[in-house]
Amino acid sequence: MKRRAMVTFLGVLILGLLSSGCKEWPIKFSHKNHLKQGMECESCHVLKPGYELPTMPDMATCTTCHDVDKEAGLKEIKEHKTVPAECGKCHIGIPGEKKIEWAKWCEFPDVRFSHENHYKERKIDCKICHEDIDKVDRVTPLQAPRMETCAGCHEKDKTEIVCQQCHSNKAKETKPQDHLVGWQKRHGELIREGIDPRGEAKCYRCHRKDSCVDCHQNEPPSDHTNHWRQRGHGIASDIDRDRCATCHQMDECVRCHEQTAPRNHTAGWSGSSQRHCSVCHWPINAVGCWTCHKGTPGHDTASNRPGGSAHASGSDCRACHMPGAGLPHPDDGGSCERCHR
Amino acid sequence: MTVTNDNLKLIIFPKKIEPSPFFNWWLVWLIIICVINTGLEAATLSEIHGYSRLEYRGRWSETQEDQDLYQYLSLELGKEGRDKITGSFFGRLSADIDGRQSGNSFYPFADITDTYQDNINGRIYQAYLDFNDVRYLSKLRLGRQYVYEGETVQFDGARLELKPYWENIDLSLYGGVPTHLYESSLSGDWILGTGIEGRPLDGTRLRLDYVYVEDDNATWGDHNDDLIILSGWQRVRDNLNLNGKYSFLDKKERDASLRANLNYPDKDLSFQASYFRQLETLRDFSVEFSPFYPVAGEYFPFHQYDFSCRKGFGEKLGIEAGITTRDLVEDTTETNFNHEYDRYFITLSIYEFLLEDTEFSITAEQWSSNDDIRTLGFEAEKKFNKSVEVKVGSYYSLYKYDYYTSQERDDVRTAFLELELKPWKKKDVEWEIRYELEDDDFDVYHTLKTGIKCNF
Repeated sequence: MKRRAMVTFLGVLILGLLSSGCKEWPIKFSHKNHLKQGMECESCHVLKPGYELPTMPDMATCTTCHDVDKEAGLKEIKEHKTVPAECGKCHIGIPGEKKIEWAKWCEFPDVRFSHENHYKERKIDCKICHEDIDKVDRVTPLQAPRMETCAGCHEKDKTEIVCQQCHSNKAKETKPQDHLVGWQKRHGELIREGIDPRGEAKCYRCHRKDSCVDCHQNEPPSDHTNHWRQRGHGIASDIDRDRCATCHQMDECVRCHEQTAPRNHTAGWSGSSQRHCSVCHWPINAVGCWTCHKGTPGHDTASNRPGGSAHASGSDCRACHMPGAGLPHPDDGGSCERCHR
Repeated sequence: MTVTNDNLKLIIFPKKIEPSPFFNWWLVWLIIICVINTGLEAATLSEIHGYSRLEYRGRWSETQEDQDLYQYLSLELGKEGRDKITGSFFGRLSADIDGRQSGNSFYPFADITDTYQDNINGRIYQAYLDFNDVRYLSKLRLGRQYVYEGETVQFDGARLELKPYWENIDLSLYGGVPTHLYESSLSGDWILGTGIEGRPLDGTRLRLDYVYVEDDNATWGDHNDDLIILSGWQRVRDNLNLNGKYSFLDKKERDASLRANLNYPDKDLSFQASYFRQLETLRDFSVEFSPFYPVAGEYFPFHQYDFSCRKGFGEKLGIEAGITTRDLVEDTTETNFNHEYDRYFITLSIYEFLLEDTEFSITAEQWSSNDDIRTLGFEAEKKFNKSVEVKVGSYYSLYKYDYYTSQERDDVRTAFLELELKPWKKKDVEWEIRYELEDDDFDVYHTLKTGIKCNF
């Protein structure tokens, strides 16, 4: 019941997430189709002298090739409130309703980059920075330039990369946008699952490849409290021991458990109250005594079931061996034959 | 502290661990050969970066206290992709300044370093040199190192990455003495591994890893284990990646997994889903592959399903939620350390809410099994300027467990305040102070940490 409620909650949450904040780009334009037909990037994106960025095409650029009657289309929209099929080939929704704003990820307000220098003077192909632009029907942030691409060339000249060389106001200590508070908790999972759609971790642009070890040796997870050391880790490893294996190896557990007494092993633990037995026998396999006490008498080394017809397998041991009547240890209610084979 | 030969030996090889002759001579010889091969030009390490951090940690409760000192050193030699020789070092020295505690009775601040006879304890986590672009090798790494491909292993030895003979095929080999930081003797231990990776099609990556480990130990016995892992990655679409793994341990199937990542970067939306199946009961193996058998016993087969998603709402808000379900293949195998469980979590992150340069997150998590763990925590961070940063946070954990009455529960409340300062403008020095208060069902604990980190 509890599980069903949680699954329902998560399902509703996911649907909510999916249906919110997802604005569709209002133009359909396939770079793949246009470049396949032999068009050059500069056919639409013009590099004006003195400007760092090329122009973004307007409709006049499209109509250079596409024979579209814009005025007729707008008239039909105004009079009949319908979008002509010809307009719908490129426009999603009603064209002209709102000025198209270039996607946020197309803007790099912080970056100094000269297309004139890279494209015109050095003849660097657009596809070097705008990866797969000739293979996609729809441009996404995956086609935005990567810092790794820039660094790949700039590092070749054996000079130290200075952040401000390209970023006007970012220094080494400026964190990327996705490094919010929750980042510290979820970064591991995302790195392991290869969240970068290009299949590589971007971490190494700023972090050393060894910084994982550095940090993980310094910063234990937030739940590794004093309670965790004394009891919590046992309960957590009882549920999922794989989580421990992220940082710890068996030799560490064995060394500690061999020499460190558990919190409940107080002075009276093995005394006449036999508290340790009652904990253990409830039932025998459900507690962690075995973790340390592997050769405890009475368990694997318990005496064999006596012979004779009175002690045949399946007979009712408790009919004679009742607690307080000759039974030398607490009764956990389980089968006696488990130990006395 | 004066560094004597004995001290140095302690730092490099933790107490009781004898340096293996294999490590000593074979490694030194290889280093010399490589330096000669790469030429004298390469032998000059152009730059060294890293940090040194000295930290004090004091912990106390009503009746007990503990004070420790830690010295961390991290070094990065040269720059990968540019220099012929690069390297890395990371190590820690710890000193129990108020004396080591006896392990005979319960001590709330017990630490694994208390299991050693000396108050000073040294650890080298990694120390290696990379020789880049050496004849047929794109890289030769010598020293203490981690290998993350296939199975994560740590060892003292050599790793070779061959230059691609065929286009799109990479081959690597490694071997040496496995690093068991907390094992007294490494006698008879060795490790050998290899990996081959190919990219037969655009967006497809296939990999085969093989690891052989020989581990001799008086406590958990002698083991010779070999592990084979087959992995594959496929980019189905620009925003959809699949990854699968299948492994064999000692010629028996060990586990299989399948993962999928779906991303909509323009919508700041991502999904991750995975399925994991442990195929066989795992028992006693060498340290590298052990399911903690000496402590937790047999590990029975199970299915595990994970699903999580994250959605950003503009630049200020993000929500992430996930669910994990583990089911045992046979219900009858449910024992201590073999449980079915469900895990749920949800995290809300808010950036620059009301105040500039602030970050805030709140996370709720639940593990449901025979035992339950529930946590709720928040963290807030405010950066005042380049020199001052303050963090505050609080966590609540509830442990409900089943020792024998099914009624036991522990409540753990923690709160912390952390201050990070950069007191000198021209020097890259950070000073951090953190105070943590923990109130649980056993006691009230205070922890004070303060450390100075010098970056260079």
